[in-house]
Amino acid sequence: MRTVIVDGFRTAFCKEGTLLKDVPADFLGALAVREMLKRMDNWNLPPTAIEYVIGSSVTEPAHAKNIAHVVSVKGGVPDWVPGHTLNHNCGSGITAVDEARNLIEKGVYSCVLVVGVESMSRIPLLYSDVVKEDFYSLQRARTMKEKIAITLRLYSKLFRFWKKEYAPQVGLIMGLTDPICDLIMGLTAEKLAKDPSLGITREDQDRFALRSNKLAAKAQEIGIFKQEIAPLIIPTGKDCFYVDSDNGLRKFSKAEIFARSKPFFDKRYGTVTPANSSQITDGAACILLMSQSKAHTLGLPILGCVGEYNVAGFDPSRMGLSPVGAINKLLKKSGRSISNFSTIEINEAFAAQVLACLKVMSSDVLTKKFFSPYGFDKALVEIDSNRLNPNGGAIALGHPVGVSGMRLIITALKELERRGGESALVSACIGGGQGNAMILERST
Amino acid sequence: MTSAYRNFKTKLLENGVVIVGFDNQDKPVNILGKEILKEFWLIMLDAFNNKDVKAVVLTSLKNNPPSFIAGADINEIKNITNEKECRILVEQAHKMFRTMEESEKPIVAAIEGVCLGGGLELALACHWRVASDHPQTMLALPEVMLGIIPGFGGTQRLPKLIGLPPAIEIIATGKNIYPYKAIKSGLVDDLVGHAPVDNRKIDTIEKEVFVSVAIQRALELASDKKTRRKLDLKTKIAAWPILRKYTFSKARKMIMAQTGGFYPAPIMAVEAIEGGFRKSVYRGSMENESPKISKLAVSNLSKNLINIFFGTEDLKRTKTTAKPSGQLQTVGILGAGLMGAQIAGNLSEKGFGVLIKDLKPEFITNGIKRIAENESKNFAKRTITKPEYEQRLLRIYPTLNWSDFKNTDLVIEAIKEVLEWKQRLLSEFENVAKPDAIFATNTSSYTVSEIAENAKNKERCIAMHFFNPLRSMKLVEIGVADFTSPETVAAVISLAKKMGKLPLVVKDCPGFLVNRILSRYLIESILMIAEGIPIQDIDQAAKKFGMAIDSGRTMGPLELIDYVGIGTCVHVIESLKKLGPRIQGHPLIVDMAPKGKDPLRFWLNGKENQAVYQVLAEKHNWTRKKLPENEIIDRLILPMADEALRCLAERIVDSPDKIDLAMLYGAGFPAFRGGLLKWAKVQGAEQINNRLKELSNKFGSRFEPFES
Repeated sequence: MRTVIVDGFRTAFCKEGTLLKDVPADFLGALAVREMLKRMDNWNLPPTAIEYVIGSSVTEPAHAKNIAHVVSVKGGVPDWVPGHTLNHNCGSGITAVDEARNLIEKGVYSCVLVVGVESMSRIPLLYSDVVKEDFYSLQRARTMKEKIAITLRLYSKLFRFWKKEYAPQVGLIMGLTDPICDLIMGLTAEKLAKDPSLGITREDQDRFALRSNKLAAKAQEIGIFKQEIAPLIIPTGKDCFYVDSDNGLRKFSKAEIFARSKPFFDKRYGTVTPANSSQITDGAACILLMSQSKAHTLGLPILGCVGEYNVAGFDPSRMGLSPVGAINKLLKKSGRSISNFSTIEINEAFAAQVLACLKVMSSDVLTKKFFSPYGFDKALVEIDSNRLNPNGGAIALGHPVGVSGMRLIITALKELERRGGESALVSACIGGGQGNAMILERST
Repeated sequence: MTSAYRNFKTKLLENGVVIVGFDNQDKPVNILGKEILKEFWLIMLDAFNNKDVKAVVLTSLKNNPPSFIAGADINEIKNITNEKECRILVEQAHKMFRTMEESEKPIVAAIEGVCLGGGLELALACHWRVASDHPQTMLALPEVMLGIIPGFGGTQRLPKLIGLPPAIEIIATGKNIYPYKAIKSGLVDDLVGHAPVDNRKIDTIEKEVFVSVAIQRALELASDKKTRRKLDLKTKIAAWPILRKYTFSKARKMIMAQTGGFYPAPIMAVEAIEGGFRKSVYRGSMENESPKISKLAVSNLSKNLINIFFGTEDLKRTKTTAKPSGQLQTVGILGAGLMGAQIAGNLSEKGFGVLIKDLKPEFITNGIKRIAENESKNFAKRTITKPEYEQRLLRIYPTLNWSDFKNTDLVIEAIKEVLEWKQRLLSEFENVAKPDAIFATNTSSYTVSEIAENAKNKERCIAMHFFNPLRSMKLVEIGVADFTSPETVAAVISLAKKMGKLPLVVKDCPGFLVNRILSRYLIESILMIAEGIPIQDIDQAAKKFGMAIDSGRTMGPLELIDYVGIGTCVHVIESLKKLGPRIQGHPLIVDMAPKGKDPLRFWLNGKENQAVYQVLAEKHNWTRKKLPENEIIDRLILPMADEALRCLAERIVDSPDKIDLAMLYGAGFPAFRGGLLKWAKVQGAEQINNRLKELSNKFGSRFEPFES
């Protein structure tokens, strides 16, 4: 039994702190689910057709744990439809689709909704342990004397918020820091950029970032993204606005402006800048999967088929290279070669990271150097730039971690349709040293 | 104890508590009537004389929907014609309630569902009140809304229980008190979470949570473990002589501002409270309450208000000849403007899914912003929970595409008043919609026949005319054309009912009922200005008549035009011209709304707008004139009565009562006058005809009375 993707869309991706900053993740997700239900309604498919919901969210908000079920019920799926949420860092979206496929192909369910939600604007600041301790003891305090003493102590600490031990910790940075190698994601990219054997320069990175932005701007201009974005009207208490296009693109940027951007992670000697890294972004996406037979019986439109999937582990401090391993393993498993794919989407976490992947893929020596412990020593074919991320990537559009994987899948399928190709490959590096990859096919 | 009572069932428990369950056999809700009170009294005497009975728990056996006691029988009040008769009746009840209050055996009221008027007064005479937090639970003394005051000691007991200021508020406004407010103010002594039951019977009712708490309390009171709640310091201070005086004078002022002095009941209620405050409950009831209620109960005003109450109840239960086909779940709204957004907001509040369409996303965001602001206010006030708030927003699905309307059963059109646009909209809708989907237009100036002129399927077309602001205007006119199918009418009526509105079925005609009659009034006010009568004089006269008093403040015709917007008025008048020469515009209206500029207003920040006088002086050779007030009133009101008679003759609606209700809820005709046609009847048909003829000779043929 094969699994098909009936429909998929994403919301527009909005840069952190812009339009979607006041929209809680669960509300955004509910809007996306509602949109999917409306599309189903237009095919005369009731909400009860959905049998299971898989959520993909990395920065799940504290008030909506197991956000998959929260958004599905809020969005209008009956509450007897179960669901769980999965967190596979930046690879979540792809993993979630694979998991849905597993459920369908095992015959457990015949229709599964995958929904990805990320509201990175709303990741909280955290009190440091010293301050937190005081809050708790204030709660426990019995006598007035105790209460006053603790309040004063707490007050003096909060007042000196700039001191390291009292300062609030940024949840976003904590989330982006790998606890295994204690490096923030940007520094793992720096490590690749500084590797002499790869030889990636600042100019290379900026050029790649510029390419991503230009391609995305072109795609936006000619309406390619309109095919994958569901425009939404989003009410918040204070305002109501219409979001139909990504707002993180640097449309009119030039190489000089990219060159002016200052390194962020290694401020003195680094080359990874905000301009050549992916952006922090809010967004959501929905993909409806079904068993092929059911989709055919219902006479539904079919966007594509889910093909083979693989995930591979790698050195956490060089996590950016991991797609090479994942793709290698996947090709071995499926017996295909890079040239089979009409379009290839590799998530652009950092320009340095994608460039490193491309270099390793095309060189035997480098593959041996990095991947011989993992069992690969032969290079893959070089990917020509026409097929790689043809509509730009996360550097231009943004990287809402749990949703990016789903965006890759939707974009790749729509691009296959435009190119009339047969199969596509999507891959993402995963913080913590993993990579996953998936083959998608146009169904016939 | 015997239980051979018709409307009550009793059960004596082993612990000495007797449960008295009220179950009115003739009505779906419990209502207190003469006979029932007698029966109740016998039960009480029985309980007092029975040695095995230690305490009484009073509750209701009505379950679906739960109602404790929904008040006194209004039919009986309506039939009282004699002041003395009323007084005897009330004083009997006073004696009975005093005996209850002074009995050694504690009486506890276990309240679930509505507890209104006489029912609440009965509960107040008990020693302890336990309420369940069932969503239907609600306590109130709504007597003033019927032009009377609480007559079973409510004006005396309530202030002593919860303190003066809140008691005055509850009695003089008749507002509803919900359980959480009631426990806070001390109106009830215990609040118990409710657990739904399928079948409520006297044998099992003791197991229900709120009744078991009541039994517990009754036993505690019987064994002196608990005493009645004492007033807290704040309410005690509020009863100090100086503060008390201040409270009463402030209450009077507020009541006068709200009722304009047209309604005596709230003031009388305050007087009854004041007069009886230092006396015992019984003396206060006998000396202050019963003379006042007897006087009010026989007054014309109260009869008028009771008539309106019954008329409204009838309207709420408007019957249909056909059954609406299927359950309506999603309603489409075309046009997200002022009305469209309000209708969408109301629908989503009532749990309907809403599809709202407009041409551009900006139009929809503006509309939805209004709804979201409104709902976030509700959420801030804690009248709704966060999930409910989100659901209300999520139920409204905005769209720009017709294809989304494929499965919609009913759409309400609320776009701008342009006939061609409306016709085009209808044909676009017909292209995508299901063959039996209903198209309801919210037009104020066109007829259904005009809009549906080119429709493929005319049976589905109907008008559903809402009034602005939707939240407070309960009326919705349902304009039915000859070709509208009965199923369509039924579906729209059932929708209106579910929206909490009063459906009024009218025959398809320009302006339907309310706008048609009201336009005579509005046009006349404009003609009067043009003649030379100042803005102030016209509005003042209408205010003296009491126009719009039931909305909380009086409003003159020109103020109303400002509120509605002169642009809309122009539209309505234009379309009504086809009714005959009696409806004629005036160039002033056009000058008031110049093209490409903001329309002028008659009132600006509470003062007459001098710009209007400037326009008048420049373009209309205007000189100030004076007209006696009664003549202004006649010129404003009599044409409305005339037009109402014409509507009746044309069978736009089937009964004069409906016209009265429509003018009351849709146009602000004052309720205390009983309704437009009722008022006209009191004035005398002959008299009005003569007066109209006089006016016609003096001011023009538009006043020519209608000859049937």
